[in-house]
This record gives sequence, C-alpha cells and structure tokens, in this order.
Amino acid sequence: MDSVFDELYKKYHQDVFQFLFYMVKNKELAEDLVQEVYIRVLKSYEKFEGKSSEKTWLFSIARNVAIDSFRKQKGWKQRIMEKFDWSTQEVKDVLPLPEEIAVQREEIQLIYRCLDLCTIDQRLVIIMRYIHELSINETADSLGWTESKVKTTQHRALKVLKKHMEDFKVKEGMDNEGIKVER
Amino acid sequence: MKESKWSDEQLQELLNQLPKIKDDRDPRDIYQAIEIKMGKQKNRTWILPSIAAAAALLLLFILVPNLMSWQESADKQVELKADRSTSSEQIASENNTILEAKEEDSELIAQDKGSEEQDQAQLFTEPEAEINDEISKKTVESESSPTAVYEEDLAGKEVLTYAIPDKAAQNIVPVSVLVDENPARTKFELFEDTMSRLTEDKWGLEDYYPLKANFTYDRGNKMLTVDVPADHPYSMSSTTEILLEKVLSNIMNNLDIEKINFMTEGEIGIEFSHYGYRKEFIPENSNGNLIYYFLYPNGADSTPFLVPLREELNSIKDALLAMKKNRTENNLQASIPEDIDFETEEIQDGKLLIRFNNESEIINDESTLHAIEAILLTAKDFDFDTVKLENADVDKIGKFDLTEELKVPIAANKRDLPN
Repeated sequence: MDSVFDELYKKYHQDVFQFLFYMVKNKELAEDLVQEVYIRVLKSYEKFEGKSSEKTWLFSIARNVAIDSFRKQKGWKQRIMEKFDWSTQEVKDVLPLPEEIAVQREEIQLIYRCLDLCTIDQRLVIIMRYIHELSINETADSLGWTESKVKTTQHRALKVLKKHMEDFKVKEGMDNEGIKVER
Repeated sequence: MKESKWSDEQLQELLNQLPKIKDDRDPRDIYQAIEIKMGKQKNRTWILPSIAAAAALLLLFILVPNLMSWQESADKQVELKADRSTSSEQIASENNTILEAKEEDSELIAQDKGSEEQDQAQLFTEPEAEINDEISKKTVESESSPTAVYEEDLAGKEVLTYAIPDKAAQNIVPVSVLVDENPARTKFELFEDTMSRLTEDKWGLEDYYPLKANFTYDRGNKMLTVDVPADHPYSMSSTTEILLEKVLSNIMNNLDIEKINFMTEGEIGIEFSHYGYRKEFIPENSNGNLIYYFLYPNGADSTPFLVPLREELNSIKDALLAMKKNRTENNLQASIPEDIDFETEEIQDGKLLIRFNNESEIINDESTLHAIEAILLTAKDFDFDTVKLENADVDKIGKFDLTEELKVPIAANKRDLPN
C-alpha cells in the first residue's frame, strides 16, 4: 500500500470521514467522498508545501469535495424536483437517522436535524469548530477565511440552530396543547 | 416563556455530544477502490484521444478514395467539356479576387473552388456526360451491330430461339442462335442438340439449358412429350414452376407445338409441388401484344437484351409510347428515349410509317440502333412487315438505311455460340 495513503489513513481517516458524514448526512455517500478526498490528496501531495498543517489541508480538500458533491446533488435533485414536484419533501424525510444518532437522546437528535437548516458555510463552521474541535485559527485556515469571518459565521450559525430548535419545541408543545384542548 | 432554553454553551455541549461516526471499512479496501478509480481516470485520459484518432483515421480512409476519384472525374470533366471548365475557372478566379487572400493561399483556394465548381457542374451534367460517354464509346467501338436476327442472316442457317430466364427470374429473354442447316436433322432435333451449347452465364442470364428432361417430338400431332427424371429441379418452388411453364410455352410457340405431355421417368404425369399432378400442358391463349424493353444484365455499357412484355394495347402507337417508360418492377429499361417524339401511321397493310418530330435527335449511335430494333420487333408483333422511319437527322443508323423501308427482324437477341 502507498505509504502516503497509509500515513494519512492512520492520522486523519476517521476525522475526514466524520466531517464528510456530518456534511452530507449519508454514510455511503461519505464513504465515496472520502475516497475522492484521497484521490485528490494523492494527486497533489507533492504540491503540499507545508504552509498550513496537514490536518487543515485535508479538511480544506474535504470541504471542497463536499461542496462539489452538493453541487452535483443539487443538479440531480432539481431535475427530480421538476418531474416529481410533490415528492421533494419526502426525499428529505426519507433519509433515515443513522444508527449512531438514533440511539442518542432526543435533544441530540434534534440538533442533528437542525444542522440541515443552516447554510453550508454555517454547517462547515459548526462541524469544524464543535464536532472536530478545531480552533478558530485552524478553521479559518481550512476554509481559507479570515478568523473574524469564522467568528461571525459561527455566531450566526448558533443563532440559527437555537431558533430552529426552539421552533421545533414550540411546535411540539402546541401539538400537545391542541390535544389537551380537544379533551 | 419566549426566553431561549439553550445558551451557546449548552448548544456547544450538545454538538460536542454528537456521536463519533466511524468508517469501518478495511483501509486496504479503500485503497483498492482509490487505485481502481485513479487507474480508470488514467485510462480515460488515453482512451478518448485514441478513439478520436482511430475515428479520424477511419474517416481519412473513407474520404481519401472518394476525393481521389472525385479528382479523377473532375479531370475527365475538364477533358470532356473544355468550355464548361473554362467557365468554371472564370467563376473561380472571380472568387479569388473577392477573397483577396495571400497569393499562395488564393491559388489553393482557386483550385479548390475550381474543382468544387467542376464537381457541381458534373453533378448537374452527370447523366448527360454519361450518355455522351456511352455514345462516344460505342461509336468508336464498333460499326454498331444490330442485336436481332434479320432475313439476310438466314442464308444456310437455321434460327433457334431459346427462352432463357434472367438471373432474377423476373424476365424470360428470347435468345436466338444461328446454326447450320442440316437436312438430316429436323428443327426440333437441332433445337435439342444446341441446348447444351448455350452460354447463359456469359450472357448474364440464368443457366437454364439443357433442360433436365428427355424430349419426344410427334411432328404430325404437334405434340411434345417431356420426360423428367424423378429428381427434376422444376418443382422446387412456385417460381421454378412458373418459369418452366413460361419457357415451355415459349418453346411451343417457336417450334409450332400445340400440346406437351408430361412424364416422370416413363410414367405419365409430373407431380409439381405447387400445381400438383399434371399430365399435360397447353398454354393459355394470351391476349395482347409483345412490346420490347431493354434488359442490361451485364451493366449499362453492355449490349442490351430486348425483352418482350405482353401488354394489352389498342394500337402500335400506344405500344411505342409505353416503351418510353422504364419498367422498374421488371428491372427493364425504356427502349425508346423519353425525348424522342414521333407520329405513327399505318400506310397500307403491313406497312408502318414513323415520322420523328423535329426536336427528336435521331443520330447514328448504338442506343438509337437498339431503340429502332425494339420498334421493329414490336411492330413485328403487331403484324407489320416493314417500317419506314422519316425525318431522322441521319440517313443511316448502323446497318439500317433509313431511306428505305426496314424489314422487321426474324427474331430478337442474336447471340453467338462458342465454337
């Protein structure tokens, strides 16, 4: 096996995979995408100058791969939407909760769902910052942003998350109340 | 109530508690998958260009011969039609001045344009050129020989006419051969003897003779007995049966036979697969007249066969008009050119007058000669003895002296036998 691959696999594979998974929320797709990351990495490994850390370099590639996949998916989804307009809602809901999430408590499942409601940029920051616990600096490096941009995006992302989670709670509460009134 | 339940810290904690997701594939599998993908991509990088190259080569192979033959025909065109090509060169040079390219380039373009124009000119004049070509070939080739048998051919000869199917079994071609008269042999015996000497293949017709049967001819009763072997080939299909019928009725017509008795190896009757059992054959009386068309089994440059089709027509005039039309269903060509117009008149019993219109081009070439033979043969079937052609552009076409009445032929399609 390729020594570069071996090394990268040992050091970062699960991180990259997890990152991709939380971005696309689909294990099989994440498995494909992580391979794509390796292909891009192996092709351009010589060009890696060590300006940034290997880790942030890998994350930046993973981020590009994820975004490319969204673009592809979007095209594909839009095409389907044109044909089966009614089914778009189902397509989203059909994605089942992965086993690992399904066994968690309700609040964690909720926040997992609410991740979808953030923009891609916001999601990138949330995942890097809070799931992978990258520093502001590392996140900025991976995304090619300034630190202040990371901070503001992170701030907004948390706000959006909070709002949606509350909305969900309120909705549930109202449903419960409605049932109570009927009785 | 509206107060948010979650602080940023709580959210961060929740996010932090999101479970770790692991890829539990074997790294070796992953590496293999990557290798395959990278290999594929590498492959693709040379597969596409090589496909393109192969396609280009293929195109080249297809185009180059075409271009060359184009060039050739263009050259021919220059020789054939000097005036035409000069005019096209003029057009070409006009194009030059418009284009005002570099000197060398413009020369190239001029050539290109020139040949293009020529090609176009050729496209438009191709049929004409072909005809011209044919004409020039034929007038050079021979002092145009007629295809039919005429009275003067008969000195000391017997004419035997065989009905031979063409290769497609579409037409029955009457082919006549001349054999030396032999007082010891009857005409039927000569017919039987000569059967095996026919070279149908060489003539471009179906190898049909000798017929696979024994013949006994009863001259007094005008009766012929046809005795076929048990494995005779004539009942293979309805086509072979119809062909046999046509051939036999032709033979009967030529040899003055009224009835044929069928036998199979000495037993009376032949079992046909489609007609069933038949003891005898008497051709039905056919109405209508035979009008003659051209058949070119060996290509358009060869001498045509004049093939009769039976049509019910009111007059010789209608017959001659019908002969201007191609009979594609039978693969037969018009025997009178479309652009020849004429009037017909029966001057006396057995004498036909054909007067060509002024626009009609009647010149001394082989196709005109064959057209005249077709007219004569058709006239013969309408019981004319002579035909007078008037207002032709020449006095003589091949052996025909147009100043005199032309006698109708004895038989169509004279062919030589190998010695």
